[in-house]
Amino acid sequence: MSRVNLGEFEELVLLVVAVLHGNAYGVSVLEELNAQTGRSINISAIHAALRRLEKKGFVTSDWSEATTERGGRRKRLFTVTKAGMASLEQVRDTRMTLWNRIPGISPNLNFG
Amino acid sequence: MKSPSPPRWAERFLIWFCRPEILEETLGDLYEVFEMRSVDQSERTASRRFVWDVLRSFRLSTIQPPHLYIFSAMFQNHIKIAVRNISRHKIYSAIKVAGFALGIACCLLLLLYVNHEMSYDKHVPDAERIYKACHYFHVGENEGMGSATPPPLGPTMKTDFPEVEMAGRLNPYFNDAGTNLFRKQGDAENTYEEGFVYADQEWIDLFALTFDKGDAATALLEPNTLVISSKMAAKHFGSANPIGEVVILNDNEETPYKITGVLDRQPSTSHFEFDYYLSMEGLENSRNSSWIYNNYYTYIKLKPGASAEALEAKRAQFSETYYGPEYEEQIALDISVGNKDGNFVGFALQPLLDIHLNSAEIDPQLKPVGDIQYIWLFSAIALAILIIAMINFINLATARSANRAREVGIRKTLGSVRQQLIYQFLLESILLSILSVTIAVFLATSCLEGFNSVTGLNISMPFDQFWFWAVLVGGTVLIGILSGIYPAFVLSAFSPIETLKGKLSIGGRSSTLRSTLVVFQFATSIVLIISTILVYRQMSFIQNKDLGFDKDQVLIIHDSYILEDQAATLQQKIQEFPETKSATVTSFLPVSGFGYNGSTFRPAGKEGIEDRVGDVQHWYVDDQYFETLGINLVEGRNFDAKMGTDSAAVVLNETAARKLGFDQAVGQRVIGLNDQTFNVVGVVEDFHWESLQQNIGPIVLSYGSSNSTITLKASGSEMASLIQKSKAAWTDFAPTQPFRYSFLDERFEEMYEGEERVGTIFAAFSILAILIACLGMFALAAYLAEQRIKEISIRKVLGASANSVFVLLIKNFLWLIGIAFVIGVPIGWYLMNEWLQRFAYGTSIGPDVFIIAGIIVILIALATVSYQAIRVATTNPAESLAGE
Repeated sequence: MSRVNLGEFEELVLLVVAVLHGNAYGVSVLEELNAQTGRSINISAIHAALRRLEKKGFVTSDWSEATTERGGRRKRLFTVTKAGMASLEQVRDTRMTLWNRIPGISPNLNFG
Repeated sequence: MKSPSPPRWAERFLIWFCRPEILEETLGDLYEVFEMRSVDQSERTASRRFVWDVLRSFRLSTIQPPHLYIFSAMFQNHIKIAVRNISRHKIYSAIKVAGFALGIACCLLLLLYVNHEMSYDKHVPDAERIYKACHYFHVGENEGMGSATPPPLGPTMKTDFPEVEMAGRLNPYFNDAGTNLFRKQGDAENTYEEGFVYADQEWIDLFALTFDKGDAATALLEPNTLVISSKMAAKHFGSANPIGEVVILNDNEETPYKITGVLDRQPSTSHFEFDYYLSMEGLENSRNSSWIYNNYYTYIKLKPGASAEALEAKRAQFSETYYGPEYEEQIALDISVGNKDGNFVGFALQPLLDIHLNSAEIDPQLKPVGDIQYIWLFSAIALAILIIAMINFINLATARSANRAREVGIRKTLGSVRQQLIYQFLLESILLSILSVTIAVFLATSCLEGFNSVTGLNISMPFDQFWFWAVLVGGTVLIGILSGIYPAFVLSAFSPIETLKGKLSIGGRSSTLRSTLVVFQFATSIVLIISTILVYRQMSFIQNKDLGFDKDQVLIIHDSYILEDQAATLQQKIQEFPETKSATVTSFLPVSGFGYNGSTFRPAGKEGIEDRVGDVQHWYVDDQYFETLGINLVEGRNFDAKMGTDSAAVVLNETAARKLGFDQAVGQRVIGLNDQTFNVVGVVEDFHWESLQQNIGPIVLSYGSSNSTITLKASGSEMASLIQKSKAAWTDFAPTQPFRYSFLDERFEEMYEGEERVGTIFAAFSILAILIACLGMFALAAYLAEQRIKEISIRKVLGASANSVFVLLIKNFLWLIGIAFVIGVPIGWYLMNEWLQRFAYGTSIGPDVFIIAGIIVILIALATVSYQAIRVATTNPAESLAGE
């Protein structure tokens, strides 16, 4: 598998999409990200990241059903693809390897 | 309670730039966030943040490429329809295009003319720092400006004023200036050459004249050197290098001139034009330190940052120091600073760039100048003609709007938005505009020759200039839009239901506008016709006015100063010819081109300043002068060669006698410059010695000799043989001098060339304006006639005669012309009144002018409309009603 190029922010967004599992769209990603990391991002940045991820094939998207809120406009719901999952795992593995190689840090930390 | 919503404009902005495929979800998310914030915080904050979100959403990945109209599919369709429309209605299209093309061609030529006139002297480096030092005086009640200044003015200004960087002088009067006999040293034959002038080296530096050959920095430093124009170099020396060659002027072998430079071709937009520049170093008089004589042109260049106003503020002191002593001594005029009469004689600064257009009161000029008033005038005319053409277009387009009604109805039904329709119609008018402009450019180029000969200029189409194309393209689009916008709005307003039902009124409301426009067109034409008639009248008035002297059949033989004392002998010889009625030797003739001067006289015994009469011509004439020119004595007698005392005799003209305060002038004495005393022996009738634009000024005619010309009056019509005999006699006296002559009446006419030119231009534009207006009227009449054909046929069936139908159709137009007449006449009267003010002697504006103008316009308009009216009035009703 070729080297995966995933920006730091994109990785975060992808993770949140995975967390939200089928309920991921612009606003929900924004709120979850804010809750979990304390960062308040502009919604347009989220949109851009989601579009990039879709272009790279790490997420797919589809319309939700129409609702009366949001002025009747539908949401676009994103789900992580297998490739997306794979890239996340790869990143995690790379990080793990590097952490294990730090001298003086005991392994098996923070995993459970 | 109304649910909060974000700012509409921000939302619209987003909708505008956002790609349609992501619009819904993006806007939805923004909305949701807005709603949340409205609840959590405040609506104001939520709105603010919404706007920020919209702005932040403006990213490369979200925006859509602009759909320009030009790239849309509808564009092609519109072009196709536009072309089809134009070709289907060839006549109307041709009229529209013809009108436009004529109007634009006119505009183009006039704009080129205006551009040329306004760009005089702009090519001179640092032109804004260059000023002409004019002579300015304010003595008692008289005030005036002149071009000629004292010889020491230039050098003194340079030494005394630190602001002055350079001062150059020109002298077109003395010795070898003007026209001369010219030959290369060693040649035998002379040719006559014109355009000589004395200049100093600083003049060349000041105007940065560029040299084709020779060194521009040193060319005129030495005396007896000469710089010639490239045209003259080619004429005398062909392609050989003339530098170093020696030439002889007026057969004077003692002072030959050496050629030290050849000028490059100078732009035609220079306010001076000479062919031979003689070094002023060789002119003794240039070192004259007298401040009382004015015969030099002085120009200065200021240092960067120096102010002309500041310099001019110092002039009172300057005048007191330099002009003061001689004015005090020679004419007892006190011009010290703060003198009790407020007199001033000194210099005034005129910016170089102002000279060509703003020198109306300053005489004389090195080359004929233009007049800023004419520039305004012609610009206004060009604009008026263009507007008339545009009006035609608008009228025709709206009148025929019914034809397009169904098309508009269908387009709207199929989903066209009004804006698209507007674009479509604008496109059509821009296309027509492009077509018209192209034709106009061709028209203008082919008429350029004729235009140049009428205006006496040498303009060419500036195809190589960027700004020309920019203006052309910009103008095309502008004209297309301006004339197309109103019809576009009218046409796109049709309701689809009405048009498809066939129930459309034929632009009923807009007929008021149309009528107004027609009235405007014809009012303008009337103004132009009135102007033309009056200009021509003034011209013929000038030709035929009693001038106080007789200009017909008068022959002038030039350069008789060459003969020196022999001139009188030749004169007598010529006087003996039977063809000669009378002959005189004189340098002073009452047409321009002959020496004018300016002197001050006062009656003997009166010392006061108010007794002094300034700006008096002082001419030297012989005893045959009055007879030859047909000037009448009203008091006293002519000069008498036998009376010894007549060497101090003078004859005054009526104005001089009046200004000097004499009831009975004969026997009085007058004192002129240098306290010279003269006896008045006679008074002559006032005669116009300047152009009729001036009031007649005072002249003092001394008995003396001035021998530039021998002027003869032919008795009867034997002019040809008189010329022959004179020529033969001349050759006896001056074999190496070409015989040069001209006619007084021709020279007189030359003085009014400018006005004649104006008359021709006016006439041409009047014709054009009427042509365009008639074109429009023709088309309009045709159209309206067509519309009313059914109505007319029914009338005829019900018994109306062809005559009454004809009158019915004409009535409306006559009414419009009547209104146009009422508007145009006062405007025309006012404008012409202003123009005639320029002439101290002018024709009167009588009502007959207006009547003639009105009749012309009515006849032309009638002819135009009648054709259509007759056609309709004589159709067979059966044919047009057959379809019912």
